Amino acid sequence: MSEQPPVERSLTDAYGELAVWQVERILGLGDRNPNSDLYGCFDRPYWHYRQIDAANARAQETAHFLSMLYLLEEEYNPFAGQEKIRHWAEAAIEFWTLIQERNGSFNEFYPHENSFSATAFSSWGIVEAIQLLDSEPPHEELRRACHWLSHHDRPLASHKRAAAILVLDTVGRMLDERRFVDSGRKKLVNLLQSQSSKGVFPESMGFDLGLQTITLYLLTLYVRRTRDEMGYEAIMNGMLPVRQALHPDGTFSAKTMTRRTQYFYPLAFVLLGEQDVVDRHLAAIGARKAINPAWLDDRHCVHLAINYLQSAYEVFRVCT
Amino acid sequence: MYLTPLRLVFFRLYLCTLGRIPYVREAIHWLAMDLLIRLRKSRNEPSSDFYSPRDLDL
Repeated sequence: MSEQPPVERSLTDAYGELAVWQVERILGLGDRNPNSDLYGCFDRPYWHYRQIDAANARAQETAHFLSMLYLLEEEYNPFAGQEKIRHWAEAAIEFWTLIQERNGSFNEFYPHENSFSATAFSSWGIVEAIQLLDSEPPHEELRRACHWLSHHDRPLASHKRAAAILVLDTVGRMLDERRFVDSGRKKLVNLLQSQSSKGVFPESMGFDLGLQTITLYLLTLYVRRTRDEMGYEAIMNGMLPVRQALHPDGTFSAKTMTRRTQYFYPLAFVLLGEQDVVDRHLAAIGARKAINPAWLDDRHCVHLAINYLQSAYEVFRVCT
Repeated sequence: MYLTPLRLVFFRLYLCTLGRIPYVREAIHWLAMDLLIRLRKSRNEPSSDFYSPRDLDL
């Protein structure tokens, strides 16, 4: 994880272009009217169609997408430097603070759900956006979210645990709260203990390639900052089952996975310079054999597009 | 002009009776918020408010 471009820039540009291709769709998911009460809400079924009774906090991760979009000065990105993009990202952060439950958690599917996933992932997306935009962090909301995360766990879902680890460490350092950093470290130890000898991070008691790629990129971001040796070894072990399950043409059989996820998050492989895996994955996308954000429903499209855009942004950041 | 005393009477009654029971209070609050949300905007909204190139000066 040096400051050299980990993989060829042309490869990550391909990810960037695929993500930028989704911008208009993603912007359409948000309430962009500054006079609206729900300004900054990116859960369209909630603010526009009124189909659900609670806004999905995970939709607010769009703030992360928009902040990278604002900063990514590449030829294929006409949205770079657009002040409105920045304002919408800030509005998404603001709306996130409004939908927090009193105990610090967030909802994903229904009111008072107290979703571990929504709390961990949305907090991480918001923290990343704040850091990229250099905005004032919502101290109290982040503190409450981390307090809730540090008292809850999801042993059967390693990717959710990894998100909690990353957000606890990031917020702990940002707000100078040692207890959150320590709590993240404890969760990391538990997560690494749950990893099998073959490198599998358990997802519903078994291996799921798509979710493993999520765990890997979150741990990679954690290790990049903390330089944690144990974590680095676990990531390297975690790469093995992914490499084995990935066919030479870059596809894999989702039906044999515990959660049957069909997507593939490339960021860990980009950051760790796994050129071969990235090559194969992009070849599968080019051959219309692998899923890309355009094929997914709105909620998953945003998450995967964020990962694609971050793959491009991390390499862009190193090169400039 | 009668609204404020009426509101006071209503909330005094509410606090003395159902509002004293936490779960009932929570349920009433939830239903009231739900009703407010539904009144503010009807369902079956037409497809609109999508992104348009006019939104940004590209």
